[in-house]
Amino acid sequence: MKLVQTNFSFAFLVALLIAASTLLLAAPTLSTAQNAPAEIYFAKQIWNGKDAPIQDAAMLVVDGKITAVGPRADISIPAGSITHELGSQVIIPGLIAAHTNLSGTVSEERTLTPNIHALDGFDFFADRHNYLKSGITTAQVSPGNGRLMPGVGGVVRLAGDDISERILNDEESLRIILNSTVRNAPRIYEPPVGPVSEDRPLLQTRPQLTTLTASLAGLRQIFKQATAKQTDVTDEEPDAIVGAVASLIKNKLPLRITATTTPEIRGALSLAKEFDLKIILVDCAGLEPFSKAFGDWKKHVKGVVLSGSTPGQITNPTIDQIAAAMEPWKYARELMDAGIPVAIRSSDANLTRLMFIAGQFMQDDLTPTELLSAITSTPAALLGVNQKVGSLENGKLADFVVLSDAPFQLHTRVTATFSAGKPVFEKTRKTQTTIVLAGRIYLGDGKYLENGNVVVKGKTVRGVGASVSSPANANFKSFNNGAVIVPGYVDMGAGLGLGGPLTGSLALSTKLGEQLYADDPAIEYARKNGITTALLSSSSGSASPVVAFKLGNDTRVISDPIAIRFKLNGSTAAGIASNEKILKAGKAYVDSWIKYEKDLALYEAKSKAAKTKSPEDLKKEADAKKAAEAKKAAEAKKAEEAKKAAEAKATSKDEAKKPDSKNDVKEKPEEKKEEKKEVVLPDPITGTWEGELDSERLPPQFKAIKLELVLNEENQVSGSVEVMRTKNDLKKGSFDRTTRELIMTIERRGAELDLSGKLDEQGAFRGSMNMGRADVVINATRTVDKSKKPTPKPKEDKPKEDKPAKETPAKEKPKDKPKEGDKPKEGDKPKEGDKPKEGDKKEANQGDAKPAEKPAEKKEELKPPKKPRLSTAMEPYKALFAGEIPAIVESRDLYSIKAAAELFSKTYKLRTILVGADDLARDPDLLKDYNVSVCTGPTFSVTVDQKEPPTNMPQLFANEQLSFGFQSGGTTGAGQLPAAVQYVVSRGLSTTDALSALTSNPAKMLSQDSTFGSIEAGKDADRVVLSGPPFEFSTKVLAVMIDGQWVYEREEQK
Amino acid sequence: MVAGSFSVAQKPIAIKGGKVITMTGETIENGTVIVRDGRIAAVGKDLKVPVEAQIIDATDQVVMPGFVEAHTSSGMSQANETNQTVPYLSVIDSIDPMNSYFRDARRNGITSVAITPGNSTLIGGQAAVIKTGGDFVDEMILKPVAGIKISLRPVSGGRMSHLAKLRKALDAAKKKLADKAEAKKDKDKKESADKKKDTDKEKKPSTATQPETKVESELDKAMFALLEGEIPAIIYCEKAMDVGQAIRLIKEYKLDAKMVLGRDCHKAAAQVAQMDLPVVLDSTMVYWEEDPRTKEEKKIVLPEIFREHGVKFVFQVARSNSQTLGSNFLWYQAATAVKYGMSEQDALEALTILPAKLHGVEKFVGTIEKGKDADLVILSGDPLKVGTWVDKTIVSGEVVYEKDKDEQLKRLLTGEETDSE
Repeated sequence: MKLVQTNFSFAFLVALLIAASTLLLAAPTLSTAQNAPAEIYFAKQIWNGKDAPIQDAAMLVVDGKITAVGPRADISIPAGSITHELGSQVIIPGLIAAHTNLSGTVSEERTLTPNIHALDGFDFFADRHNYLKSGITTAQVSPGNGRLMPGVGGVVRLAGDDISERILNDEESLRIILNSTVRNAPRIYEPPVGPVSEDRPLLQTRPQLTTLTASLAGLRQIFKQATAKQTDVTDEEPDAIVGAVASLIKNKLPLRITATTTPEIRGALSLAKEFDLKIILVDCAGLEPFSKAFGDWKKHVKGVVLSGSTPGQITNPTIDQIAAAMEPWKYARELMDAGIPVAIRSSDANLTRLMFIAGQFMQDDLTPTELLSAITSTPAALLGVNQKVGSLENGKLADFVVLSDAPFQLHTRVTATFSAGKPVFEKTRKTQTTIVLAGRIYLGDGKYLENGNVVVKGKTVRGVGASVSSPANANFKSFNNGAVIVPGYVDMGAGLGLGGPLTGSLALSTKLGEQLYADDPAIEYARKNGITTALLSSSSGSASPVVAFKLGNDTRVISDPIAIRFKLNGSTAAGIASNEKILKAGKAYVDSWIKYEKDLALYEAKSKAAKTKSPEDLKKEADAKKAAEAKKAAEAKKAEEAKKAAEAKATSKDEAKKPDSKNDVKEKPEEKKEEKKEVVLPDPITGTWEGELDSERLPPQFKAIKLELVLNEENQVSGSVEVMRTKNDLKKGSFDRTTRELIMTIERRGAELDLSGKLDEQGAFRGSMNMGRADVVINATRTVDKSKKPTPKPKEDKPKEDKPAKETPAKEKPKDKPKEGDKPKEGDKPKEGDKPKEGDKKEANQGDAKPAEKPAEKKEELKPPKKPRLSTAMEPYKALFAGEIPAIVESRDLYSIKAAAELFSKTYKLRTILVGADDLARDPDLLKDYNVSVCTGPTFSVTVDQKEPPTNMPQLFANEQLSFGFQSGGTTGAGQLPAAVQYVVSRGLSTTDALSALTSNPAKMLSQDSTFGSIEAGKDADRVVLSGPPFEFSTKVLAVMIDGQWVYEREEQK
Repeated sequence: MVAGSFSVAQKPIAIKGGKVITMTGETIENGTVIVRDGRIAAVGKDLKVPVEAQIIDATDQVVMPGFVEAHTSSGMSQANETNQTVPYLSVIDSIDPMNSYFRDARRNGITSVAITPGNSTLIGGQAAVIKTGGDFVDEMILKPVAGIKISLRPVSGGRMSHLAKLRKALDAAKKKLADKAEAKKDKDKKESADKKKDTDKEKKPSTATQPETKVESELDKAMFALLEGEIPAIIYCEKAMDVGQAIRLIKEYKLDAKMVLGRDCHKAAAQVAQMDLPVVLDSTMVYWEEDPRTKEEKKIVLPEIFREHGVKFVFQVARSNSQTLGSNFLWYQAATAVKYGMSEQDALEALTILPAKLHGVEKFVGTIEKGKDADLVILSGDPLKVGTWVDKTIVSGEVVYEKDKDEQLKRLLTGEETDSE
């Protein structure tokens, strides 16, 4: 390559000189190289098909032919040549199928048809892509299968436009089949000859040979005549068959004899000896008697073609076969040692698995080099085409295959196939799965793996390890051995994603995630340095939302908010007081909801008495559900409109007055109504069920059955069934409230299983499950009731309870409610609906100003608890107090740190992350009694005492056993965080601690369920590939992947 | 070789006022074509019309050379479809001039046609180029031996045995030919030796010593002619793979070949182009094909593919039971090619001069030139246009079709029962 930059003519001269001196064959082709540039391929190894692989090798291809192969250093590159750097991939010769029936297997009428040529039936235009894809570039083509002497085989290349170039040998061998497939030759029927035919009328037919002895005798006779004919040329009217055979023998064509059993092999050998013929034995199984005597074969046996067993198939051999232990590869070693060339072939159906089939022969101690030669150079020699193909040597056609790794390694795949130097197959890059290989992989929790693979599919990591499962079409991306993979870095506080720093305080309801944009140039800079996840929040004001997002090509929000950020402003006392106030308000809000839910549960429990419901109630319930949904939407909207909502105490009066947008007019009243009469039907299903299968046949541990069921409003049952120690999700399920019938369907081992039965008076389930042959009785009871408590009936409905519920909802009962006719009077707002149902709703609208009024009017009855006002600004507190998200607390001086820890961690029991706790340098033990984590940065060194060196904060935290992470606090400078950490490491922080603090620590601090921060199956595929050990001066970022996408790849400077 | 057509003296015809597309590169607006004795006597503008001439007014009409159909198995009665290796059979023996095919051909402006043995044999016999006008075959023949048909579509069994049979026949003929050449050499030697002897010695009864000259069978004669290139081979390839085999055969036996291609052969268009042979396309020129690997449906347009590869081709029509009616008409095939990008000029050539050249009859038909056969078609408007009809067809100077007198067409178009009979 460097020559290119220097003087062209000089380079060319040098190339020519080298070519002339070292490569005799290359010299003539080089002159044409001026038109078609030489192509040079660099690979980890090149296996030439004969010898041990050449390491770090290069191959030069000019005009479709190989002109040089050797170690990279030995190959000089002609000027203007095209370079193909194949990295860690491996080049082998194109594979040769030593025996196929690609011309079809149609059997002729006659037993002996030596004048048939297999290539006459070969379709040069058929799609051979599958074979090329599996590395096969050349194939022997045999004539049909079912006759004794079906014809002459040929050898073709499987790619190319020019037919004459594709035919390597049109008369390769005369095929003879001695095995049982030829024993049922048909009778010959000679059609009556027409009056004008020149064919000899009623040609006497040859007896069809149908036994081995007859076959051999017949063959002997033919060969005798044919060999005799060689000397005696005066024969006037030669027999067509004998004539054809004679000319084939004259051309020294070998016989390709399919001989499976021992007698067949013996017969083949005796034919060869008697008439001094060369034979190629195919598919030999009965080799045992010849063992130790293979040396005698040398004179007549040109080679043996063995076939391996079908990959992945269970054949169930007979006991005799097992006893005989006749594996296909049994004598491969011995044959080879005796000097008999062995080629390995596969059946046509398994042709694409030729590499695997050959690999099986390792059982017989064949080396990979020998194996490769058995599917490349050996068959080439047997087929008489070794002048052109079968090995990678000077002057041979550039038919070669690129493998992802060395041949016969389990996970090696073909990545490209070349025919005459042109790619005829290249693995598509569309596949979703990528396998990344590197010298060392840090998993994020301090552990690492040497020489590992990571499998990525879509956004997630599917496997990590030294050996990983991977689909056949996976892309391989391997980095050199020194490369290190680390999880993507997390910046716990950066101003990324908004195009600049975020100033001013933000309400907690602000969804920062919606304002992010991926075009922020700072993002690109940050991820180029390995940061894949960043947290964003306002630095001023207390109780502001923190959003976490990925720095991919489109910013993906992980959680919004992922934490709430508090700030202690002013003096410690003032800061603590104001934050306490905030927390108190939040807690009050959360408590109000907790109380509501508790009350509701209580209320539902009390009203549980009602077992069945009138149809009217069913209908009401349905309405209520609808209304509940509508209400949620309306509330969310409202909350956004009014930010003060948190403080506002919602009175029904206020609400009534509040002008709603037009869209809300209809929804709002419904919501009110819902509040009053939220109705829940009794739910005898939802919950955990346990029971057992009543079957004699089952062992006890298989009897247990466990169901997790949820009943919805449509009486559909969902959930899962754990039966026979496997858990299956319900495919469908339904519950009939009237008949109390429960029907469920699960999918188990690909078949659908039905479980059906009834609930008895006590609510226990008794039913059966069809299990193939027999039905099994199931008894189960609900052990955990997770149902919502049903709404009690209005008293007047009670008398009807006992009646069975009807499917069709009855019309509105004429109670004290106004009917349709009253509507105009009452509703001054015109409504589109005229149905009684609508009227009912409107009636409810009218009353909604006085919410408690109507139930009171009706009867003295249980009141459902009042729902607290929903506030988006306060909602995050629910997660905060539930411990789902942490509080990030910013404080500076020593006292406020302690006070904050006390307040957040102790008093309110929140998961707390302290930010900016630099003063801890003065008193490292301060936090030892608190369960808090720390986020440090952007300054990591704090000078406590002028006489002492500055304190390395991260190292301090590490030694204090505090979980800590880093924040850059930067916008465009966020990308400099790893460099800052590098300095921290240089001053004493361990690499592992630093990596954890950049990756897994923040993930754990933020949530137990974080999907980022580590490399493990199921987690997000975020990772950084480094050229060397992390935090070394010489280490560069080679590539960055976020959510399974390469977002940065370092361009190699050459 | 070529039989002269009508010897009976005819009245000259003058076709006046039409646009004459001569296909020699010249188009004469308001031109005149004068026909005498079955030949074109003059073409041009403002020609002097003989007084005795019958005048055909072609004002607003278009005069073109009659169309030439390059390959059909129609027009025969009981053609050979059974005997496989019969290179000596001639279609002439089975041509039925009363066959409805000829009437339809005249209606469609076809004046010459190469009738060829079908695709269901191996070496199915000899093709002939004949005119579509006439009552007796003898007077219709333009070229009695236009080629020997070789079909590569296997009749029964596989392609291998089909080709093996073909090779066997060709090899046998080749060997006999070689033997013959050898024998001739020997004979010549002997004769010259004999002559010497004769001059030296007295005359002897030479017949006794001379080897008996074998009587060549019809089969041998035909095969020799094929191998020596005297008769071209018309090779039918059903599939693309047959093209490969055909190419091998052509090279191996040095055949003078013309290719008739099945629709699948488009896959071998590059190979066909390389051989630079005349090609007859399949009658189904546009169809959908499914990719066996991707299952993707793809529209295949034969004229487009072959044109892209630079193959010169002509058309053939489908037998009456084809899927689309249009492909039964030669002009429709040409129009289809134009639709998919062929130039009108090329398409018209593929109807006239190109097929004439393909069968070596361009000296007689294919263009309107002085001295050529008066095979003309008078169209009601520009060719290849919708709404253009064949108004008159003239074969060897005789009007063989007039639309006005086409009772069948009238019945077809009007639905009326004509009581002309």
